[in-house]
Amino acid sequence: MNIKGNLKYTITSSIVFLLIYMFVAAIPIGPDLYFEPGWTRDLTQPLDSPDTPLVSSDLSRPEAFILGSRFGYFAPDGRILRNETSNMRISVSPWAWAVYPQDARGTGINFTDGSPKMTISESGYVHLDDDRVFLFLPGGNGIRQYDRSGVPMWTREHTAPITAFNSSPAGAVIGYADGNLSFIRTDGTEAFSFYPGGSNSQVILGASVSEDGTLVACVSGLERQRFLLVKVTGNQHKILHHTWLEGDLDRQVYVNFEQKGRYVFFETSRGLGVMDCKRLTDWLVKIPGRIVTTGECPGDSIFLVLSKEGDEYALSAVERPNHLVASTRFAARDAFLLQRGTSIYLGADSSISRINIRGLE
Amino acid sequence: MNHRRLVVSLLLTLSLLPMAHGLEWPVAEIHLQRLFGQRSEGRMEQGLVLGKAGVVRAADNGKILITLEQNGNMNGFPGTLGNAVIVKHDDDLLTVYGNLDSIERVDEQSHVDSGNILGNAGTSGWTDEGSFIFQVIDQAKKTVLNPLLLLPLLNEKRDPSIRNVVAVSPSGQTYALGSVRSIRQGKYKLYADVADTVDKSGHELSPFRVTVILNGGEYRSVPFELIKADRGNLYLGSPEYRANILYGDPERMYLGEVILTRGKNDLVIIAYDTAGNEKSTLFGLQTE
Repeated sequence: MNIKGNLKYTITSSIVFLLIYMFVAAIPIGPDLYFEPGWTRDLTQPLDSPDTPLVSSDLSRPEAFILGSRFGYFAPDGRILRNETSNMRISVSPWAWAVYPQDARGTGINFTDGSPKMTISESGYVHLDDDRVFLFLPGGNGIRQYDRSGVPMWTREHTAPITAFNSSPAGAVIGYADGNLSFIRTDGTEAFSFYPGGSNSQVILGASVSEDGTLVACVSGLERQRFLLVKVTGNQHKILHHTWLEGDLDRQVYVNFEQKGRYVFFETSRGLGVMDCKRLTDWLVKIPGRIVTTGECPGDSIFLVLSKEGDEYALSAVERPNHLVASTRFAARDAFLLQRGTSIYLGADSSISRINIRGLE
Repeated sequence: MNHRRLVVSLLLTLSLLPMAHGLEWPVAEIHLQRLFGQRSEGRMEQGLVLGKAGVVRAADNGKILITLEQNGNMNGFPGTLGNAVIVKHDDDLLTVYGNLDSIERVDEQSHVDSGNILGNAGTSGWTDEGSFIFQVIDQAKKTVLNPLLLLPLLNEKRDPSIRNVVAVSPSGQTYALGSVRSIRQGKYKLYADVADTVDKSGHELSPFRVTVILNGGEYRSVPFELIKADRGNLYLGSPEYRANILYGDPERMYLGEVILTRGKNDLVIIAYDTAGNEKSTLFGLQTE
């Protein structure tokens, strides 16, 4: 047996294999990702230009914010356009804002510049979602949508409290404590209403609808909690995908489609679930605490997550599928995250900062 | 006729006696502000609203199904129950505890025993400050139940009141019963201001049932026992009693439609409260 000859042959083969592998299996290294600080504004200071109109005409879409009892608008260039505090309840969207008391029996809704837009004369809590106006009715199980002039479009009541809600231009998805999931189109017609079931206890903990209204997602049930993705076509609906989740959350959970509808984010007891609605695959990003919000996905490669654990918030950057690129923690009572492409707006208590994501191009 | 009325009345009273109660009062002192099915902001109350509630406790053993939090950011929705705990019990019953100051008490719990503290009544939901919202849902039957059916009986002796009874003809002509003695034959819609009080606070509460007896036979009944839904609309017992119909008149409750035939008609309206007290009013009408 020629051991020496065999060894020589093995070593040579290995080197040749490694050389071939290096060229064939090579993946181009992406550009380095980094976060570049933009501006920071202190909200305890007076407005930048008190003599100029609060919302200038070139601002088609100011960004809205709520930080505890403080709310207002800011421009991408850092101008604070409205900055108010209120001890009442606040609803604010890029289109309008409203404040109202605990026992609201009529609520005035104002344009972003403060001029009156409409009055909702009924009792309940106003919810502004972009340019959509909803009223959550006393008792916890009813909701009404209004048009832009304050005329009721539809009302929906059910025999259990509302536990989940989300809307898009296509309609509103409503989840209930008895496990019912309903999707109401903007014209008030019911696209579907069903009980996903499958778990020992039925309840909808979170739900979301895609911008175009063709997909609805929810987290439902206790003891075998699960995530469902529902396809909506005309008056038909079909469960496209479902995933059993490990462990249970017995509180309201975060579920949200990104704007393009390709991905949907959902909160689980083990972290953030991400579902690719095209490939129907899902994965988990281990982020502790509660998910507050997720950002959009510039270049479809990275997204940001704001989470809260105890008294601390964490801002995490995740590269698909589930690679935690960076995470930073900060103490705050209230915080928000908005992501517009490669621009991030992060609010914490009394300040707002802009951060730019670089290295993605 | 009197004998028949007595039998009907007895049967109704027996049917009203709450079933063997399965829940305990979730508050120590009971200050009823609004009852199940009561007119509330143009809608029907879905449960009980208890004033000066203080500490709120679980009404029975169960599993925490979900906790709801008063929305404080832009990613949620402003639920009108505010901070709330929903507990699932045996037999698919859910109890809902709304307008709590916080849900921290149950943050780490998955089960509660009867009497466990869930929180204090607060200012987080749509109701009066310090009030507490209590609802019971039958998950299997998809109905909202009157919690008083399952809670220990209230010991109070005040009779309900029946006032301002009117009959409205299809043409919209209103006849105040008690003032008119004769009326044309035909269909009429009956309305009355029916209320109950249980203590000196004077809070006017809804009755437990209102029954209309025409010429000795039960004709209409408005039962404040359960609320059902039909295509997104709620109704009390029967689709005839949707909130916008039941409380379409701002001062009175709709009791139903009666047909008065030629001759003498005896119309009796009986109101019952949850403690079994009743009040009846007789109208003798000569119909032409």
